[in-house]
Amino acid sequence: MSAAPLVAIDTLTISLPSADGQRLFPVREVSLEIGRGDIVGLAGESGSGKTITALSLLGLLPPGGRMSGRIDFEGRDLVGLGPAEISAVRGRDIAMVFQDPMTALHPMLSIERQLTEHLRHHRGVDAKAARERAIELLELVRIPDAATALRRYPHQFSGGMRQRIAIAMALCCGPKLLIADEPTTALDVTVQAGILRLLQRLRTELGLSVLLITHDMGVMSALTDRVAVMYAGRIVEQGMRGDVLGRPRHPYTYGLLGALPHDRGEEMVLRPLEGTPPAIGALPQGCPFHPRCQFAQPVCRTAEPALRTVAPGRAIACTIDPLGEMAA
Amino acid sequence: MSLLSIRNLEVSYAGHAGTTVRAVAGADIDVEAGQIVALVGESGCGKSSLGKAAVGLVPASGGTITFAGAPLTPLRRGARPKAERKLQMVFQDPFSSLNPRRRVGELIAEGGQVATEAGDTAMSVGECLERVGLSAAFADRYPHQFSGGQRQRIAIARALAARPRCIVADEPISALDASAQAAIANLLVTLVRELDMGLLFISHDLAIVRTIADVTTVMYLGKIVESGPSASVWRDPLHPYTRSLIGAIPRPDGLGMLPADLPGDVPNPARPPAGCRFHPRCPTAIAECRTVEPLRERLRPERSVACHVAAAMEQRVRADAY
Amino acid sequence: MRSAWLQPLGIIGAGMLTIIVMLAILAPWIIPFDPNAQAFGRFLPPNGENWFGTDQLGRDIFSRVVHGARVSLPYAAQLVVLSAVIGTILGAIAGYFGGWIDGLIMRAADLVMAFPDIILAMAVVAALGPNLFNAVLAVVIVSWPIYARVVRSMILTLRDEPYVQSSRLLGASSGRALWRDIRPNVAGPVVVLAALEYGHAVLILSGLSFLGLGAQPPTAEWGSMVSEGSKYFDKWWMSVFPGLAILAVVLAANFLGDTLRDAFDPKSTKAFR
Repeated sequence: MSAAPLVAIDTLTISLPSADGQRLFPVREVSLEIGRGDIVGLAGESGSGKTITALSLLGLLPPGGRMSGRIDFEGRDLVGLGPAEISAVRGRDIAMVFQDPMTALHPMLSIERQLTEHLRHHRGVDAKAARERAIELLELVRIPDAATALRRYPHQFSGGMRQRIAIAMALCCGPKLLIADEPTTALDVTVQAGILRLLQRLRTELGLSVLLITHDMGVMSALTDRVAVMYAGRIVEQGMRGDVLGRPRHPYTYGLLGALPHDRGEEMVLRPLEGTPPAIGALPQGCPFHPRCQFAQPVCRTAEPALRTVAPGRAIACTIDPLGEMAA
Repeated sequence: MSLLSIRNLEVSYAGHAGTTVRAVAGADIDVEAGQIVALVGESGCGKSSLGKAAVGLVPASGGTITFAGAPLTPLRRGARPKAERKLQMVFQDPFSSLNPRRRVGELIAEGGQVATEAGDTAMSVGECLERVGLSAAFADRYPHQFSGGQRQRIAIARALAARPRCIVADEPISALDASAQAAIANLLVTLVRELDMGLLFISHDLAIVRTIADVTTVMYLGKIVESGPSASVWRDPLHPYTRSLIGAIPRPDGLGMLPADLPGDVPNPARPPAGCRFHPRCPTAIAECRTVEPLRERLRPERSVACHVAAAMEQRVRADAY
Repeated sequence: MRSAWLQPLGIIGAGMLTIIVMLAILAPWIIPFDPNAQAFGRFLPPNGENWFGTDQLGRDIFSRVVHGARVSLPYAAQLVVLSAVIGTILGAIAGYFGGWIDGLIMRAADLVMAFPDIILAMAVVAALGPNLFNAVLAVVIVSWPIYARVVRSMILTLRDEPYVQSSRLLGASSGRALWRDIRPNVAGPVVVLAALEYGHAVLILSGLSFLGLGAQPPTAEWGSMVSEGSKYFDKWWMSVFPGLAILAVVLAANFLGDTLRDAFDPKSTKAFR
């Protein structure tokens, strides 16, 4: 990585009020850097805190949510910003696409209206220029026959095409960072492959940085440069994509990958990761993963391990590091 | 005759403006006892309609379904015939397939009643729960007290209580977390082997299908395009659609390879393309594919495919061998 | 469960209704005077002895208002239960059988709902003769369709739920599935609807009495008291106090109904857990 990263999240902790008046910590001491033109993946099971981490970049926390730590975006700390300032960043510098493209698309408005409205009313671009920009965007995301497509409505497109349109909308103000939250989870594999290729192309053509949130390690492997794996609100493993997925060093990453179908000669086996992630309000003492960990030692039950650097650009939060020799 | 035998099945729905949509347009599938047959395809290919028709939840508009030697009747207002209750279903969403207001034990006991009525000795509720890897003490709880994976186990226990000879599972793991997916898939394999049941496993996920199914059947736009032993289909797919499906799966190996994409969208099933249904998206289509619909042919022992090009290739290989 | 009742509106509604019901039950020991005794001067404004004043016959209005709860509350309760039962049964039949039976029941429901309910109720009472029993009957006739509609549409949706289908595959006939799988899920919304309708029932019963078609003199009924009061416009206390009683019951029933609706909605954060 060269020079200063685009985004540097530093010991970000997020707390939310719980039903009984306590405070819950769905995200704890997360540090993550995203360089310009980098695609960084955030992995983990549902409830691991990956989505809420991403939403915090947009200043979108659930009611009563509080942040501490720093989110450095091009030299500005987003944590201290007021609602007006953060909403200026949101949409212009940081945009987001979701699992369901209909989250971003209005079912009753034409594609043209949805793509041009922001430009015309907030940027003062005139109608003709806005339309040209809209066509340009649709061509960028490879919507065939862009001029006709502008007159259509979301329901006239397939799921994959809708996701492309949602991405075009996210790109309309030329953001520097795109947050993609499970952007292909609802799509068929053949369509997913197209969207992954699109995101890769946007990175090379526009120099876009992408924060990709997914539980699908295949998608992670196809697209990212670096990967962070979250468990119970913390990053437990972080490093280059090839290292983390090819030679996982944290037992959780190892277990997640082991649960996937793998080629192991002719014999096919699935080795499920037993148990379920703990609820954020009821974390076990010590390492939150120890009840499910096949390598757990008595020490894991007492002290929660901090994220520590074990090799250049590689960090894990595991006291015993049982896979260290294998990975090195 | 197979345990569950589906011949030339058609399922149609009324579409917009008086049109008829053939969701399943002539499909053959056989499931034997102790065998896992996977039905794979993308959304809208008709695999769910096939699964529902296979148990009688939707009526077939053509073709026959035979279960244990007797023709299956579609479900009407009355109770399902006793013999047919040996054919059960596991649904995709374990949050809607268990009645939220009934206790787990009560739900499973309903399945046990079926077994008793059919002259079998019913498994106790506790036994059913333990078979699927849950504690017998869970019988007093309500479904919402469980995670997705546990609920799917409960749904399987409920079906098991009826002592089924065959289960149709419609995307039983796709709503679950990755780690739970593997566990439920393994559970189904164990049950099939131990109880000598047949399993029709409907899924969009070829990677997981390959690891658990004996036979893989691939469906595209209402038609079965390829079928054969899972390992063989995965290693050497004959139909270009099967090749695209396998090529589009991203591998979690950390090598950073982008999967191959298949351009175009699945056509509207109300107006399927003439000739081979796959030809507009097919990278190897020839002139014949646009006009003549290919029939599924047995090209090798246990392998069948509906593709003009694959058939021609195979013939040439055979000719060379002589 | 606790969280549902900790809603402020729920507490207020339940509290108000409890007080009103207690007043009705304990009325004979609470009220200072016989509600029908013409024991005082006519048209006395509220004072130390007659807290709500007296009416044109010199009866104590406070005693009459409290005693009136013994008329309105039980009659309204009976008619809500009756119309909920009738509406639920008809809606279930329509949803379950479909076809021409469904058509017949739902067109009848549409027909009833096409009239303003007080007008239709008036016509019914006029035909049967003005008394409280006929008024209750009339209100039942105008209020069953809303239950029928809700129940029918719920049955049509729930019928295709995977859990119902899975019971059917296990051999439950569709009637048994209706009873075992669908009924428990319909019960909650019907109870909520009945709670919301309770206020409406009190209102429309009082309305009929106001028009002289319900309770007959000298019965102390809130609607007829408001009606009598309206003839003596300058004697405000005669209609204001019974009117406030009606308002209190309607409000309490609506608060309670809203809270119940939240409580039964599984998607609501205030749901029963």
